[in-house]
Amino acid sequence: MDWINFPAYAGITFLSWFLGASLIGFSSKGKWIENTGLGLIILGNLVMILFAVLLWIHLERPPLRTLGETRLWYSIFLPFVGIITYFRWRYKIFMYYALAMASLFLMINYTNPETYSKTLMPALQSPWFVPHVIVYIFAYAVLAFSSVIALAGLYQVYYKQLNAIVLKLADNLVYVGFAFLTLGLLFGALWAKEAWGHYWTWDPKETWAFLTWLAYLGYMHFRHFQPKKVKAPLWALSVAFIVLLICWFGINYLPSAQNSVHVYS
Amino acid sequence: MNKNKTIQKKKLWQHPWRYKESFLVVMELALLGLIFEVLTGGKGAPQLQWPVNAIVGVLIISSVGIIYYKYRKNPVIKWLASVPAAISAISFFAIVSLLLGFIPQDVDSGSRFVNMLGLSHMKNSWLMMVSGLYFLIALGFVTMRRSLPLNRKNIGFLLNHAGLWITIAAGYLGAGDLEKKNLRLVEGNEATNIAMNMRTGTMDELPFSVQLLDFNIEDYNPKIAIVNASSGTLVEEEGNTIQIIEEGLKTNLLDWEVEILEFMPDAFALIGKDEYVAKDSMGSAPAALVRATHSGSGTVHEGWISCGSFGVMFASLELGNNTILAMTTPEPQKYSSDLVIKDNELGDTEVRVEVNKPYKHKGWKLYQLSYDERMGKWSQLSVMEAVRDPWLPLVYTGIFMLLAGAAYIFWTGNKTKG
Repeated sequence: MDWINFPAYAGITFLSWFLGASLIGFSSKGKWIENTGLGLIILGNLVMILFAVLLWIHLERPPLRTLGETRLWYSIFLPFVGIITYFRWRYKIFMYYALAMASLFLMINYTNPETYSKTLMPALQSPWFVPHVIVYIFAYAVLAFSSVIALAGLYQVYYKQLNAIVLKLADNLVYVGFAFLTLGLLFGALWAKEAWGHYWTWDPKETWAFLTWLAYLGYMHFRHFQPKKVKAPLWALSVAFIVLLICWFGINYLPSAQNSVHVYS
Repeated sequence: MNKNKTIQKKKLWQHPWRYKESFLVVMELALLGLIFEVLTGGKGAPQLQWPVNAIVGVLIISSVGIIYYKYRKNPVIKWLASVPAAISAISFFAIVSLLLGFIPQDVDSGSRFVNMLGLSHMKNSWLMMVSGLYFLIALGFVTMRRSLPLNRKNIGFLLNHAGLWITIAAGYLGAGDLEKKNLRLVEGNEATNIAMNMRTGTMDELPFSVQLLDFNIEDYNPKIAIVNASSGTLVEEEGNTIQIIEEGLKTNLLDWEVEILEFMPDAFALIGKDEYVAKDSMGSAPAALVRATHSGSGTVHEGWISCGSFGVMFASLELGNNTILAMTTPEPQKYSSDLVIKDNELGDTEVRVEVNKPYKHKGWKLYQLSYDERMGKWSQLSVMEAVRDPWLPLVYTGIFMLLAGAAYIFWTGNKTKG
């Protein structure tokens, strides 16, 4: 790749994340250490955003088409969610998780260099393309977070004492994630009407997106009805993420999805 | 029986009904749906059409309204408007969708059992109908219970619940009125209003006719790739195996340094020679003069390649080891049709219809669907799809309520339980 050097961008990003995360580990030693750490993490994110923008310009199309391109966006959004959660709840562990996942995605993209292709099929050339995919990726990133928190909560339930703040944080993330999931689903429906003549065709991706939506819908109702019960919703949240993963890339392997417009390389 | 125990642990079917009762009801309903499907010979539930679907819709709304108004204290109605009923309805709908997501739809499954139970045509199966109806009834009652009297606090609740109700009800009931008709238009032919009804397979008349003036297609440049000569598939290894062609491009594909010496987007092969001439007319194909140099041994191959078309032969460059350097068929960047819409009342209108940019006419939307892919950019055929969906405004009302509701959820989070 001579036009845009992904390893260099990814390297700088990874380094600033790593240093930032290490500094945050010593946040008790002083406010400035914590702030420098946060600054570094944000810097790493800005470098990744710069890369995405340059890629966008180079490809002359939004880099949102292939799995590798969506991984790139995850490695932007996950730390973003991590930073916001940190500002709100001061949870280091989730920042570490976010950075670790984002670094993993960068690593996968580094070891599987893609042949960035400029071509974009006409059906994807629409003003809906960017909002539809960005909103979804953001929703997935937030919901992935809620599942990790649920796993942490389960660990606490079985081996320690559940910290009430865990479920509260999970709930907040699910509400935000669900709002974005709804937007993504409906943007998709409005776009489909313009592109294919109908807003809903039970395309396998649509079906699984709807299932994901129903799973989180069920979770929210359960929590609302019996806020005292903790084990079941924690398990449900961990499992809901599996449905989401099937929706994200498992679809490509389902026999019912052979003719889907959403199967991407 | 111990009296204390009966107070603490209510018996099954004793009110208020909770999860157990809700899921037993769902199981009974599912069974009912399957029995109906078998009794009707696995043909699915009837698709309601105007005005029956509208009447059914009004009946559901008014009966939910009246029953709620008169019997809201009845324990069964209370249960229907409760969270356990909601969760059972969500789960029922989810299971039906799950079957839809796993079993290939609208193809003959080859299994009589699957066909009889409606599992290969879930969209219009009795199971879908029953689960949808249960969903709408439970959702209807809870919307009544929680939105009335309407105030600022429950506006978010109303937007989400009523919005979902309207979207699903209008989408399901309106499906029978959805018309999809395909027009096959050929350049140079007279205007036609005859279109193939995609549901019935009959040829129907549209209230306007359409003439194709010109079908346009713009292609991306083709790609160059190292391909397995016998299987025709990409040789996939670490690194680049495929690259878009541009004149003067120098790139590395696997162990080969590849150079595009000359590129013609439209060319014909000279018979008997390894040579091409640029010419933009019917049947031409892109061609490129390429040089490949092996980075290890320094072996050089040079020659013309072309992806070919119905007028030009496919040509590739052999690299040895059962691999060839080949050109892929160009992918379309955009395609569109220049049309004249002829209407007895409104006269003639010239429009361009392209993918993602349909044209609206008298309640119909005209979409660019496809073309003759074998002819590629020389296709004189353009397939348009005319779609009419009179229920769309209602569905969109529901969708926009849900969008507003999603913004509300994002803004307030789960702090307001009202």
